[in-house]
Amino acid sequence: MAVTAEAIEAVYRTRYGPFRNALASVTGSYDSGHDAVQEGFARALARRGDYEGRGSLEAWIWRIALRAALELRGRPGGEAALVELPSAELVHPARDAELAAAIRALPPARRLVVFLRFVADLTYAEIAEICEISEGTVGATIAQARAALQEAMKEVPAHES
Amino acid sequence: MSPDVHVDEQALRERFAALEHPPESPDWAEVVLLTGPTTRQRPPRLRRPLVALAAALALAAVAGAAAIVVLGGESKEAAPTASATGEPLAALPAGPPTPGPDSMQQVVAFTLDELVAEADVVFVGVAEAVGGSEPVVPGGLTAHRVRFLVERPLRGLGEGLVDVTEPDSISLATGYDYAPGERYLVFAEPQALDLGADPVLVPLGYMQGVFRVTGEDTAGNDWLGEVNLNELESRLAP
Repeated sequence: MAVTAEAIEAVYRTRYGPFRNALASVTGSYDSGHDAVQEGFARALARRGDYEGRGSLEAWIWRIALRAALELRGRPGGEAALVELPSAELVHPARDAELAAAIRALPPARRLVVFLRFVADLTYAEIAEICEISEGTVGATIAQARAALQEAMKEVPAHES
Repeated sequence: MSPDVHVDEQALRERFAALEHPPESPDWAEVVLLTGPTTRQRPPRLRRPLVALAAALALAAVAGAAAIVVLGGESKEAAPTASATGEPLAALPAGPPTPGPDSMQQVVAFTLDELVAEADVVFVGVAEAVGGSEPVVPGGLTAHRVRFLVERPLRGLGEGLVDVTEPDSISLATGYDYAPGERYLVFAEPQALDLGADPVLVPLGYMQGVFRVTGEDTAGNDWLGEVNLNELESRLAP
């Protein structure tokens, strides 16, 4: 099942922000996050004939864009590389010290799921498809991450917003 | 920050949304320009839509006069069960309330028919040992293993010992304690439990795929509660 260029463009135009912000956590900066989005959508556009229609189109594009982000960061695009991501540096302590400390304390594997959930605003099903884990694992990971965040937020002074 | 700080999904979403992000600069024309020959990627591997969160189990029971199959540690009323006419197996009744609205949104309750259709491995076995919590991958999700002695292999394995892995979950309040010697009916499948992890045997829908057998010893009997194991076995045949 081929997908049309218009359908991919529609995802791009409505979801550019979440893609850029979440991929920035992988590449390490918003500029390179933008580059990853551009490269990811370009690849999706070029190989749209490969989309089999199973699962959401956006999740399919996410996988491609994540690979592009990994390559931009100079890492191999394998599963092991996904485990190491994303960077915690994009949550600036000056903006939200508690959240920055909590995110930094999370194991990288949980960070990625957390960023995909709360920055990219993806569903459990989409995250499961992107990360090739079950929805149950996504739920359990977020539950554990939430507990870790809660614990971390106990240990830092309350931020002033 | 008070010690009882509560971090829920909505609060986290708001915290992330409040972070400053630089202005967005979408440029579709650039995307089109970048389009060109690329290396072929492995197609996405589709996951079956299993249950989302163990804490939000829809507990099920298949109860009968000879034995009661209990899920979540609570007995349930007898449910309609498999018939000899090939009619669909009974839907499993919903269980007790779940820990919170976040997880409730993610619950997919399994019917017995769906368990039969989805499970790669099904067996009746006796719990032999329960391992401690350990990370699936370094720094990742934690899980524990339960070792069963398979008494009655029904699909996908033979008699002997088999390890089933269950993810730990902060909100998993309804799981079993697995005392050695207890008998369970298990529907399971191989899953990678975390990013980069090797597949291990995991109960379907977390605990939805596990039924504790209580009451009279049914080992060797053809009936498990009101579920006719012979018919269940025939349903499980390829």
